[in-house]
Amino acid sequence: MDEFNASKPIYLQLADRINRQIVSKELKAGEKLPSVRDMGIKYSVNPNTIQRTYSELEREGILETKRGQGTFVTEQEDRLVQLRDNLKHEQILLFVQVMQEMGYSSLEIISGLKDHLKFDIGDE
Amino acid sequence: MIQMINVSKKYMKQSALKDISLTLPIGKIIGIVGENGCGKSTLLKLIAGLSLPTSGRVTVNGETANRRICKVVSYLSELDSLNYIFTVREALDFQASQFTDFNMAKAEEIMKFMQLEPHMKIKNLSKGNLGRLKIILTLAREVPYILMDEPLSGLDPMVRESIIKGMISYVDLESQTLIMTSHEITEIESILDCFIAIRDGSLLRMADVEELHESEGLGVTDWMKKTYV
Amino acid sequence: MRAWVALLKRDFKLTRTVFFVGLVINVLIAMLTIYLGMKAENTLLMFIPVVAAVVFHVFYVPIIVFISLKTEANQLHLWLHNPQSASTLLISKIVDGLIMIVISLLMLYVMSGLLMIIPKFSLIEADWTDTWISGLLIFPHIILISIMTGVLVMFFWALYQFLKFKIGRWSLLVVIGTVILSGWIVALFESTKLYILLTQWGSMGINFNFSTFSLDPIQVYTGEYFYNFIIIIGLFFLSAWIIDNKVEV
Repeated sequence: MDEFNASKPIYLQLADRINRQIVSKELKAGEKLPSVRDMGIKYSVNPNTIQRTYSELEREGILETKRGQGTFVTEQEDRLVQLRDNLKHEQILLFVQVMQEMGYSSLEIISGLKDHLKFDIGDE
Repeated sequence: MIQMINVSKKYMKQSALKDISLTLPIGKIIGIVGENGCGKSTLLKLIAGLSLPTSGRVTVNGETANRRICKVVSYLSELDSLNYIFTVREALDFQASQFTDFNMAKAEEIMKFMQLEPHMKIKNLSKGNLGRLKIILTLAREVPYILMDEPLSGLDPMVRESIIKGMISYVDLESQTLIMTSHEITEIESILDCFIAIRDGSLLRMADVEELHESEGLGVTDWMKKTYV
Repeated sequence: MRAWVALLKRDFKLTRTVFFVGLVINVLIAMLTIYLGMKAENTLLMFIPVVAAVVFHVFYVPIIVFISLKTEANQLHLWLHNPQSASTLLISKIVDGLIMIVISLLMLYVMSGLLMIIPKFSLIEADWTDTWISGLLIFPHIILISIMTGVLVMFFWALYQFLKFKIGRWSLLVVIGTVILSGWIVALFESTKLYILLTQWGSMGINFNFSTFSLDPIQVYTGEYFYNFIIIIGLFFLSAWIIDNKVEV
């Protein structure tokens, strides 16, 4: 859980984690995030790094800091939808890239996915 | 601000540090890394004013560092010796009597956090508890600079974890800087802002840890493995 | 003040074993005196152990200071990492020794006094006032010499700590050499005219002239006290300066 990948800045890896938690509704819209220090303790990460993560996500409009109250997940529904979409595309892109590198065709990928998820597009 | 200008240190004829120049600001957690005996501890002692440069100058907040600089510098030695005649409580009281900036409430809090019993005699403390007590005595001072020489060495993973969490909780990065040496770089890496790498007494590199991740895609540990062969 | 009291308490803790052992020895000496008093005819003979004990007190402060500093040397970074000046740190050790030597001497004094005045023992005829007065003259001198020696120990200790990192394993030899050499130089100096000129002023005679015993008056000079005082103060601050500016860990 606390392991970070050395090839990418920790603040970005943390931002990814928070994004995923928001998409998975582990963190809800408008929910307050732990203080920079508490977050640091939770992940054993320098509070300055956490601050950088928060600032980055704020810049992207995903988090909002209210003076004297703390940092919150944004309540802008469209921004959250957009985030949800972005993450989905990112993951699919990664997956498809790997599959294509191994030589799977688009059809094979789709049928494989369907099998795996046990759902039939025709039934919809 | 801590400033070292062309600092060299020799013990008799043996050179410990060679021509080190660096500036360390407030608000950072800084790790000093390098092989055993490369001069890491000497660097900390020079800043604490407990060691004096053979040439060059060490200043802390503009004042030349000598032993009295401890009014703005809190230093934890790698040695395990403490005032053995004291109990934990007495050691805290003594520290509070000597340093007006010692925050007893903070000390109590850290003591609770680290689960240390105040009535225990220091000479009966286990190595882990001794390590904890040293951290409490050093960390509960409200000084701009906290120096820790090998705070994790020889301690089991549980204690190391609680000490690292203690550092994050109780160092106030708005007004303090923590500088430490450590063998366990992997363990402290995620809490470092920047690192100072020393080899054979010379300054090899000083950089932000995140910058290293970004520019070279390496953690400090990997970078050291690559550089120190 | 709080800081200094805490220092003194700590120094007391570092050295209290010697102190309490000393008090026990005092009791043993009192018992020996009673024993001798019952055995021997000569009442003065029985007080020889007490007198010896009193004289041995010149080593009291130096022993305390040495034990105290030896403990500090084992964890020098702790002692030096303290915002108080070295003179404050050292004064606490001297005062610690002073308190102990005063208590120990007082104890001897009171015990031997009791032996004299308790009729059951009737060990000495009268004139316990004579002994009282001679005690008043001797004890301060014992204490003074003891403190002076204590400061000397501090100085050589500080010198050793300074040399340790400069010349390494030879430093102990060098310090011992310095002790011998400086002793010789002082002895040489004290036989010069300059020394006499410096010290032999403000003459006073100390008289031990009592009905029970009497000694020839001892010729002393205010100048001698003054000279020693200056030397000791000088050495004390020199030691403090070495510790503040030259000693490293």
